[in-house]
Amino acid sequence: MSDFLKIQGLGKSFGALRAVHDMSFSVGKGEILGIAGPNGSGKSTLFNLITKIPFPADSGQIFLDGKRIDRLSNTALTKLGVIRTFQREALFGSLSCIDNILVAVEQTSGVRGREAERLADEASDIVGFPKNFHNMPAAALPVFYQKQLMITTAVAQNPRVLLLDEPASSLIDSEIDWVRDAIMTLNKRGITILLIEHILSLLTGVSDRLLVMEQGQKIALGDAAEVIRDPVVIEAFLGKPQ
Amino acid sequence: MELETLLYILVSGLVLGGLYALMAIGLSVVWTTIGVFNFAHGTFVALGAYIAWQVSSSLGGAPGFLLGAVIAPISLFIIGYALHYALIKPFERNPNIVLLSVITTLAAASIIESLIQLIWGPREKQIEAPVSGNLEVAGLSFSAQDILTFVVTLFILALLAWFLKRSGTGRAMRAAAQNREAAQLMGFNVTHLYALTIGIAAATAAIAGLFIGSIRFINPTFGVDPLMKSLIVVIFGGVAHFTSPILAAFIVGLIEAFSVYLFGLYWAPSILFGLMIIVLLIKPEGLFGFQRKTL
Repeated sequence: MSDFLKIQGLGKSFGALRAVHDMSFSVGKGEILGIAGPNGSGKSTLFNLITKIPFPADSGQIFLDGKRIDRLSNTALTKLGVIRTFQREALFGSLSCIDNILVAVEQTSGVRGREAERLADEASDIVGFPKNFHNMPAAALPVFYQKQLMITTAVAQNPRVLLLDEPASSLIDSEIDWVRDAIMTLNKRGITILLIEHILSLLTGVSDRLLVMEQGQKIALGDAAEVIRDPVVIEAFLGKPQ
Repeated sequence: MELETLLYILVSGLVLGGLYALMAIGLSVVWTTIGVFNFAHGTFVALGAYIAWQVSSSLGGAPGFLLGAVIAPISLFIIGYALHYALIKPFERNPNIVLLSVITTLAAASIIESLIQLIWGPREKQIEAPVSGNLEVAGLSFSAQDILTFVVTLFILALLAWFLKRSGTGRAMRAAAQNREAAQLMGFNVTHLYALTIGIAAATAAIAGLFIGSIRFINPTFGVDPLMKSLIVVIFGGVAHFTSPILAAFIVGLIEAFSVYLFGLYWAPSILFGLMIIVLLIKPEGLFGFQRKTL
């Protein structure tokens, strides 16, 4: 696979704490890269550094399709199709669901009016977000539908690389199945996906490769089935055997 | 009290309330979007009035007033937009931004006030009203200027509500007001949206200044009273919804009109503050507020 998204020597420190250290890896076009690691291992920080929100990296370089993107503004990154969802339900709560999708469309593509509404409807159809929720305030939705809406707004921004941060957290089994199907659907549309998830069955089920992090560093990267049998990875998750 | 007197007081209260709403909505929109209190808002009203006076007095009559109504808000929009970069932007990452912006906006108020004095001098001025005389409605006689003020005020408030609710930029402003981080992640230029918010607030202040300046005398310190009234309205009504300070403004206007009639002009502020204290004791988040701020 070609290096569609290439991360080289990415690092971020907060005082003495090295949140992400010398992180390097590549993701192929249309690939799903799963990212696992214990809490506090730097997974979400890695997403923060790629999107530069809320902070950029201290060091390292990022390339998208051969073009260096780590010096671009967040607005430019979004227009290039680097889109992210949050661990928590980061929506505009008092805006209606359709307004949440519309701001995403309007911001990224610059279209307004009926064309924006058409693209918003299209994003809802792709994800399967119920249109009868469109006029409800986003904050009034149950957690599962808020997560659906968050993915819909991400899709509405026409992503080339989608960074999904724990899309299945706080969900029950049937809802996790929906997340699995949605990820596969989006991937089939050619979207390259980086997926942070604690639910290993979901992560290994959809990922082409698995990246495991501990204390801000990469400790394993490779075929998902092989990586989860790696003693270093088992130790990182379960601790050293006595 | 006779019905006719009651109706006159009601109309007077509504006209006053409309002007207070126009002044307060800018303060409220800035607070709900950026999370800072703009203490320069009163001087925006004053500066808008002076610019309108300059334009209208050089042309005279209704055309002068009309040109002032165009030039003053546009000028204040540009000034407000630019001031965001000087007063708020440098401190947006500072955890003490609320306190720092109190200081910077108070400083700006003082500088603008001095500039007004320097440019236009200390003598009082009045903008020539575009209409004169009275309108007869159902046997009652109302000032044409009051009716014009009320109608234009309602139109501007409706236009602002439409802009925030229906336009793409308004939607983006509401989104940025609620979740700055998510908005940035979506690629919004949040700094531009915040500057736009201050610009729009300053433009509405200018329109309020234009109308106040046509019914009262203006002087360089004239911004103090509009700022005080806007603060009362925003605290009184809360900022839970776009309409919260507007409803509060009409209530404040009516209370003031009735207080003036029943107890005299000098008791009106005391009665207003007394009622505000009672409301805050019972509902600290304001009459129409929840314990959150949204746009």
